[in-house]
Amino acid sequence: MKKVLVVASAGGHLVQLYRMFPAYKGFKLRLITTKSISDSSLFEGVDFSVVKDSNFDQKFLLIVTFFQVLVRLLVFNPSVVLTTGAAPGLFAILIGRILGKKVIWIDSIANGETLSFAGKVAKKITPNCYSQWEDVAERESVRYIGKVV
Amino acid sequence: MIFYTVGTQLPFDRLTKFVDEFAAVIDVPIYGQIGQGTYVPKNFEYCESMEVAEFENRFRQSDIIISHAGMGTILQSLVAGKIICICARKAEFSEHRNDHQVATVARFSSWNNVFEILTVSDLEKAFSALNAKKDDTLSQWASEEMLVQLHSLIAD
Repeated sequence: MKKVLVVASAGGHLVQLYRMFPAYKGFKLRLITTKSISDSSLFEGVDFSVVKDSNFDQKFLLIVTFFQVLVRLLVFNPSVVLTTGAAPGLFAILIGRILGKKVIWIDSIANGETLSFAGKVAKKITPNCYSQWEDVAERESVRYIGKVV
Repeated sequence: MIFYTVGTQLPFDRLTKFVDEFAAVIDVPIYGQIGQGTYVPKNFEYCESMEVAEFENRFRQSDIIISHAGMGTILQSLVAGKIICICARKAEFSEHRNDHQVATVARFSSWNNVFEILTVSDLEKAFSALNAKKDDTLSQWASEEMLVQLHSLIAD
C-alpha cells in the first residue's frame, strides 16, 4: 500500500487537511501535527505524531521542528508528502523533495489574496503547489485543484 | 450561550475589549478563551487556554461564536451551522505577522451566518441576527472535484 505522510500545524491548517480525508482512501496514512489529537474528533484512528510548533519568527525553534520532521520522515519513508502548512509542512516537503518523494503543498484557504510566505517558498520546491483561489493561483502562477469548502 | 476564542497562538486584546463591552449590555453568558492577553475582562468569564475536548464542548454548546478570523474556527462554525463573528488580526497592531486574516474576512464575510466585526456595534448586530439565523451548514468534506483530483494526484 502506498505510504502517504500528511502534515499540518494544529488549527486551521489541520482542519483543512482533514476536510480532504476522503482523498486519502486506499493509502497507508500517517499524520504529523503540532498538538496531540487523541481528544479531538479529527483524524480519529490515524497514526499521528507531534512535533514542536514553530513559526518563521522563531529561528531556534524552527531548527528543532526541522529535525523532528526529518526523523519522522526517514522512519515512515512515505512515497508522497502532502501538507496544508505551515512551517512543519514546509520542512516536510523540502526534505521529501530532497529524498525524491512526490510532494504536494496546498496553501491555506485563509490566504485569499496572495500565497502565504511558506507557499511562496513551496512554489520553488515543487510544481505541485496549489492555491485554493483561482485568481490567486493565476496571479501567483501556481496551480488550482479546488477548495476545501 | 456565546463562546469567544482568540486561537492558540496569540492574544487579541482589541477584540477582547469589544467582547467585554458587549458582555456588559447583553443578557446571554459569554465564555472566552483569551490567550495571554494583558487586558483583563470585567464582564465575562474567561481562561487563557483550554484542552481540545473542552474547546469542542463549549463550541458545541454555543449558538454564537466570536473569534479572530482563524480558518479553523470559521470552518468548524460553518459546518456546525453556527453564527460566527470574525475580527481580522492586523499586523499594524502586532496582532499577527501579516494581514492574511484581512484577506480571509474579505472572502468569507459575505457567507450566511458570518459577520465581520470592526466595532462593538457589529457584535450587537450579529446578536440580533440570531433569531433570523439561516439554516445553513457546510458539508463535512472538501468539494467532490477537489477530492477526486487530489486522490489522482497522490495515486499517480
